[in-house]
Amino acid sequence: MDVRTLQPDATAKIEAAEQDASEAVAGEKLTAYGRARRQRERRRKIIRGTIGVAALLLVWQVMSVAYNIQQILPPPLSVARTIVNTLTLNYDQRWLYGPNIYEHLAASFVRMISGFAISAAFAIPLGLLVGRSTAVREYVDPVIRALYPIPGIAWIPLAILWFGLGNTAVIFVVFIAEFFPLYFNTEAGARNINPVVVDAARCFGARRLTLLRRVILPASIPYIITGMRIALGGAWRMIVAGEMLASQTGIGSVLMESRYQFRATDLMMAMILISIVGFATERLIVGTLEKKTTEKWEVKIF
Amino acid sequence: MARINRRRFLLSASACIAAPRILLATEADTVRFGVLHPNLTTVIHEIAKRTGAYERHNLKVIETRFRSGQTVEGVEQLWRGNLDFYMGGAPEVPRLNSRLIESSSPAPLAVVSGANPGHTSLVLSNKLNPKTIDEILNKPLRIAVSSLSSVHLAFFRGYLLTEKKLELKSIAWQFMGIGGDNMVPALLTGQIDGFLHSEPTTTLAIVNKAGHLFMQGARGDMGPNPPPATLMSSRRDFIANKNELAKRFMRAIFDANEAYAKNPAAMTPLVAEWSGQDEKIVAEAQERMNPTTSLTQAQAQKWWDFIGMAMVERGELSPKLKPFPDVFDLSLQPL
Repeated sequence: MDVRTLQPDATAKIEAAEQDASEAVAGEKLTAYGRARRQRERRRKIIRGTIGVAALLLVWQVMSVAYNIQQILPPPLSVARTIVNTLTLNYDQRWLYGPNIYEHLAASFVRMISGFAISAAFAIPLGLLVGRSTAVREYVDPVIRALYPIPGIAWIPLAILWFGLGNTAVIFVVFIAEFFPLYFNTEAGARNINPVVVDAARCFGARRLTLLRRVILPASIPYIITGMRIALGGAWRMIVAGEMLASQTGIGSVLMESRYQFRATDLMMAMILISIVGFATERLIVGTLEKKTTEKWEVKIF
Repeated sequence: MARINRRRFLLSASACIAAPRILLATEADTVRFGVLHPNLTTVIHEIAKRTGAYERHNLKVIETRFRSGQTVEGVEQLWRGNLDFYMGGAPEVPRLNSRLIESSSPAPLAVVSGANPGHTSLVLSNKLNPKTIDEILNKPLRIAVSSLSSVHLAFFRGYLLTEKKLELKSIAWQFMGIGGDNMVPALLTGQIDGFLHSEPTTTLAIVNKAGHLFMQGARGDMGPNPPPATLMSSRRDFIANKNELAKRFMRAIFDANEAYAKNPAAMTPLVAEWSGQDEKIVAEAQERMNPTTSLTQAQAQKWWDFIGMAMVERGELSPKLKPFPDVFDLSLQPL
C-alpha cells in the first residue's frame, strides 16, 4: 500500500520490513532441519515423477509390441530415436516437412508468443477494469460472455478470410483462444479482492492509480498467473490447429504432414516436442513471472 | 377346394415372380465403400447407384463419405478393415503400403482401378500470362496445393522430372497448403499466384474470372498419356477371401462406366447433385474430366513412372516398394 502521501518516514520503514520479510521467505534462512526436509521432499517428488513416467513408457512399449501395432502406436524407443535424430538433424529417413525442426518450432513459438502478448495486453487491463467497475462490467460482460462459447477453432475460417493465409491468421486465433482465460481470471481476481484491504488503502490516502498499482494488481496476480497458465496451454492447442489449416510452417504443419505420410513415429515426435516446448514455455514465462510477483510479494488469495 | 379364379391366378403369378427377387434382395451381399464426397471425381459410384448397377449385381453398398482432403482418413479406415473399397486421392495407398514394407510387413492394400487421367490443372492468376512454363519457373510464384503431399503436386513433380528433367526444389515457386475450397478466394484476393488442383476448382476459378487454365494434364500439357489421378483401392485380404464379391462390385462399376460413356451430357444433373456444384459449372468441368473407372497395366505402370517414382525420389515411398505387386492389383479388371 502506498502511504507515502501521508507519512513519508513510515513508508520507508514499511518498505524495509517488506524487503526483510521477502528475503526470509526466499528461503535462504532455513534451519538445517528445514533444508533437509526440503531436500527429502524434492527427492521424493523426483522419484515419484520418474516412476510415473517410467510406468507410462512401460505400458506404452508393452501395448505396442504385444499387440503388434507399431504402425499406429510406435514404441517409445523408436519415437525417442526419431526425436534425437530430428533434433540432431541426423534423419534416419528423408525429412519431408520443409525446413528443419528448429525453424518449425521457432515459427510456432513466435506465433504463440505474439498471440499471448497481444491477448495479455488486452485481457489483463480489461479484466481489471471490469472487475473493479460495475458500470464497465455491465457494458462489457454481455459481449464477452456472448463471444466466449465460440470455440477457438471456429474462428479459423473467419481468420483466413480476414487476414489471409499465414502468420496473422494463426496469431489471431491464438489471441482469441488466450484472451478468455486471461480475461476471466483477471476479472475474478480484481472482483474478489477483500474490500477491507481496498478500504484500508483508501484510508491511507491511496488514489485510483496507486490503488491499482499497489493493491488491485498485486492482489489479482495469483488469478492472472493461473489465467496465463491456462492460456498458454490453450495457445499451443490453437497453434497446432491453426497451423494445420492456415500455415506451411510450424510444428502443427509437421504434425499434419506426418499424418498424410502415415508416419506415426514422426507424428508422435511432433506431439512430444509440442509437450516439451509447451512445458518449457510455461515454466519460463509463468514460472518467472510467478517468482517475480506472487512469491516475492507473498500474495495470497483472501 | 378353393376355386381358381382370375384374381387368385394373378396373385399367385405375381408372388411367383416377386418371391425370388425378394429372396435375392434379402440376401444381397454387403460391400462397405468409402468415397470422397462431395467430389466430382468419384461420381461413378453415384451413377452405379442411380442406374441400379449395384442392385443388378445383387450388392448392397454401404457408403461412407469422406470430405475432400480426408483421403488419409478413408485409407486408414480401409486398412483397419472398416471398409472394403475406397475411392479418392491417389498417393495415400502406396504411402501406407510403403510404411508397412519398411517395417518388413506385407503391403495390406492394393490399387484396383483408376479414373480421371491427367486430372491436374495449373491455374494462374490473370495477371500472369506466360507463353511457356519456362518463363515462370524461376519466378517466386505462390502456388497453392491442398497439401505438400497432394496428388497434384506429385503429378506436377512427375511432369518436371520426366518432361523437364528438373527437380521441384530447383524451381523458385513457393508451394502453399490451402484447402481446395479456399483456392479460388485466395486467387481472387491476390494471396496466391496460382494453384495446382482438379475440377471443379479449375472451372470455378475460370468462371469467376479469378484465373486462367495454363496447363492441364488431360489435354497433354504435362506429357502424353497422363496417368489416373483418382484411384480405387481395396484390402488384399478382402480381394483374396471374397474374390467373387470384389469382382461383382467392380462389374457394377464397369456398368456405371458404360452408362456414363453413353451420354456424359445426360449425367450432368446427377454429377451436379453429387458434387454439390451448379450444373453449368459441372457441364464445363466435364469437358476436362473422365470419371469412368478402369485401369490397364500400361496406365498403372505410367502412374508409377510418373507419380510413384517422383514420390520415391522425394523419400515419400521406400525404394523397396515395387509397383507390382506392392501397389497395384489388376486382377479385378476385365481387360
